[in-house]
Amino acid sequence: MGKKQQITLKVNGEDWEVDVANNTTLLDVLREDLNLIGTKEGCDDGSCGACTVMINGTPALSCLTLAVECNGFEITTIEGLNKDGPLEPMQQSFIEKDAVQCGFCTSGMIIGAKHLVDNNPNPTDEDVRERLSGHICRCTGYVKAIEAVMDGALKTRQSR
Amino acid sequence: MTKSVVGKSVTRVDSFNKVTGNAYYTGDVKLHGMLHGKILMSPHPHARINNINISRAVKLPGVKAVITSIDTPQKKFGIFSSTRDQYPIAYDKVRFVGEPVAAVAAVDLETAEEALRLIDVDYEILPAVFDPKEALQEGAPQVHEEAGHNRCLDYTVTYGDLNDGFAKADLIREDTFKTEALAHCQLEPYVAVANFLPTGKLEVWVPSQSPFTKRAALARTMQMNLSDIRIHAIDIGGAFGGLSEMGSAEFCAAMLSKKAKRPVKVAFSREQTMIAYRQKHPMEITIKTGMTKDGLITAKDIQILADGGAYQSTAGIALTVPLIMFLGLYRIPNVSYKALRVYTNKGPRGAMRGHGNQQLRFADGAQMDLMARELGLDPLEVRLKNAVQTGDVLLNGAKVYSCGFTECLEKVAEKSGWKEKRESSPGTLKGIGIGTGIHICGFDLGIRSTSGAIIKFNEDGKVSLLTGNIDNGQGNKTMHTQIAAEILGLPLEDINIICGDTDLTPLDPGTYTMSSAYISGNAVLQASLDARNQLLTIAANELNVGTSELEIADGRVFIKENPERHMRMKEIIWAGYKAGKHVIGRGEWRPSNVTPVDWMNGKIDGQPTKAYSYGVVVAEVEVDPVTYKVKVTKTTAAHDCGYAINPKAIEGQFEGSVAFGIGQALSEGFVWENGRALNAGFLGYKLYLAEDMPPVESIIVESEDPFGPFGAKEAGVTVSIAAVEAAVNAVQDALQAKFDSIPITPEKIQQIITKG
Ligand code: FES
Ligand code: FES
Repeated sequence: MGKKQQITLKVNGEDWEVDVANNTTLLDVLREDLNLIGTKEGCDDGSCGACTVMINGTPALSCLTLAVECNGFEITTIEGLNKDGPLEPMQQSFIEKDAVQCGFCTSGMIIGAKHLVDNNPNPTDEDVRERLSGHICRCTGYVKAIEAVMDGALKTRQSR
Repeated sequence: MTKSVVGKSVTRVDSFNKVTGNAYYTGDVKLHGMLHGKILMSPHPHARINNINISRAVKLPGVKAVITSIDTPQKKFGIFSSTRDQYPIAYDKVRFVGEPVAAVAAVDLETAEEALRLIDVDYEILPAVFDPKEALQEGAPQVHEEAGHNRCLDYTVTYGDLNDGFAKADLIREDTFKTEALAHCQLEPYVAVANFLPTGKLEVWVPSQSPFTKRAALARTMQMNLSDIRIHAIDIGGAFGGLSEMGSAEFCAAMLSKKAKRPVKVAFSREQTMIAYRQKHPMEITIKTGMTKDGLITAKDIQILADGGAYQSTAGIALTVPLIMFLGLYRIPNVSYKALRVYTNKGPRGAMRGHGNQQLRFADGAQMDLMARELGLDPLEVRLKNAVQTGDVLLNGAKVYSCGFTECLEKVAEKSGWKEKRESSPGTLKGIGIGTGIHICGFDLGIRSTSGAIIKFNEDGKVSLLTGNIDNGQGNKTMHTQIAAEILGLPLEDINIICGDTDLTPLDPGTYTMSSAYISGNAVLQASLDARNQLLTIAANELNVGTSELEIADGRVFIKENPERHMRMKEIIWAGYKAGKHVIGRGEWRPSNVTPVDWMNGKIDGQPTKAYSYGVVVAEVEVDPVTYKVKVTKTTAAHDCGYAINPKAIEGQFEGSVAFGIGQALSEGFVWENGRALNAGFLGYKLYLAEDMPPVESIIVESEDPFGPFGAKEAGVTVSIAAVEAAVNAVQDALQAKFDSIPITPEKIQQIITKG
């Protein structure tokens, strides 16, 4: 085991100090050290999108991200979205549109989708499909997820 | 009866947890002192194990337990007593790449992985066999020497008179089709947590389709009392048939925990999940069909050669359900069916979505279109002409009590614009194809055929609903909650459902064979009716009326003629307590007069299942002349689900099924080299993505089964079966060619196009 090094992270608005080895992934820190188990591991090689979190406002695959490279960064996970109460529009839309089946892909998808509409409030069908193509879902066939993201975009626009 | 909760697209009872990161899956389980387990898997497809030396691994600091076969009771498992041929950890030899050989538990993952590298296995490499035909040859390597051959299932069943049938045909055609091994690709990688307690009891968390099946196999292989093992309820990240049987993760976690006296988690990597548990049967299917010039099928001679991989797994079921379902789709007077499954040195093949039925439907349906083309007939008309109808008695004597097949065909044709589109497609690289699917809703599973459910009213007038059935993501929790809410006149949120905990919930068939709605749903219905009667009896007593004068709705019981006089649930429950009564409803349900099947011999006479569901898909495709890629531009799917308890969830099943089906037709499949899967991962094994996904027009057909709860059967799997056939036929139509294997890759299309 490599030598450990201390890093600081701001996760969902909270400050953390953790000791990490050089090869520890951000995913492991979130799940194992911070007990933020809402972020899932579906492949561990960057091919499924289940582990998507926001790093300094940009979606990233936490299974491919080394924790040491995140020193001082701000991270948002699924648990951070409705931290202060009501569900985010995107969470609400995934529920209403029945875009959630087994739910294993859901955390990553919602984080990715939220980033999309935060930056592109009026996404086209193609934009949505492109974003969601970074997320494997074995259950839903994506149809309702695409509807949910469109609806989440609408709700987000209305809430502004 | 007007219904207020069933038949409505309600919000799923578990989606709030899933969109907030609060769903709790096996990989999320963390227990005090929990160790990390890892399994050493064979790198060889076939080898004798001469010796395993674990001494270096044991000495590594942080290692708490190392096990090999000698640390275990060395009991084999399998789904029937006659087919137990697999050790959870290899004993004398390994038979496929990925077979467990040893396991380690350590304080962290890195130490466990390091320890695996310190285990010295002395393998004596044996010649291996990968091709089923070669496996049948004289002198082929023997996967199980004691069997004396590699055939693990071999039978022929005949109905009617083939010669007579073929004599009546105007066209006879024989074709051979092939399918590839597939992975379930549940997004949740396979994982188990076990805690062997000082009391001798074992606690287990593991994704499954039936905790009761896993418990029975665990008890056997661990030589424990069944009731000393508790499998806990847990959220599950998809199953698709792949979690039907016990696997080595829960076995190794349990054994390691027993040895280390600490809880252990064993998590498979994505690659291990794909190669080391179960896969879908690849099949070579030869079909000889006789057809009259106006499209009536006169005879079918079917021969299936299935590559079973290294173990029996679901052999008898995988090869026999196709026959049961084959007889229930088209009226064919003369049928011969030969099933042959062989052992090879590949991963064991078990259940996956539709089991062997989907492979046969692809082959049969692709050929049907080729014959229609030769005869100048519309493939839709051929299907309509031969379709089974409600009330039919099939060749094996089974009665079809409800059948919306024809309605599915007609509605899909109409909605998709079948007639117009077929006429306009010749000469372009556009095509349209139709596919059909059938599935059974449960079959005889011995003692596990009956589902049980319990409704327990709590002090506040709300309900705990206990069912042995589970939810792999398809929405069973919501469905059962809806059924109970409907009968008890309660809002969904007043019912808390507990699914599949072996200590708490009654026995259930599990989420196989599409029986969750039909069988488990009926048990929930019965339990709800029982509780309802108890509520009415108490209320009648309190209100001084007869029970027949009462109605139940909106969380209260009231007098029909005078709704103002009512009691809230809580008042009834309290009145019950005061009179010494608890409202606890019990329900159980087993379809009556279902005949047990002799799976290893294909004996299916009688009524092997009580209900058949039907699905039809039309797929439209465009072939790219440059890249040779197929784009599915639109799909239309109809499915006879009996009755739609939750229409939106059923639509979701259609959509997932379409992605599954066209993925199998066009892109999914393992690539092999000497028994090794070269593409075991999402980078190499191509799943359908959002950008590939066509629109899905969903049509729900309700044939109202006389025995299903509210008339319901299963929801969705026939669509996944039909979608494969539809996509293949659409490509065949686009290129006016024949494709005899799936997946239809760009390479195969290039061959057809460049050959002209
Ligand atoms: S777990 Fe990170 S992309 Fe799959
Ligand atoms: S809902 Fe199961 S993987 Fe997406």
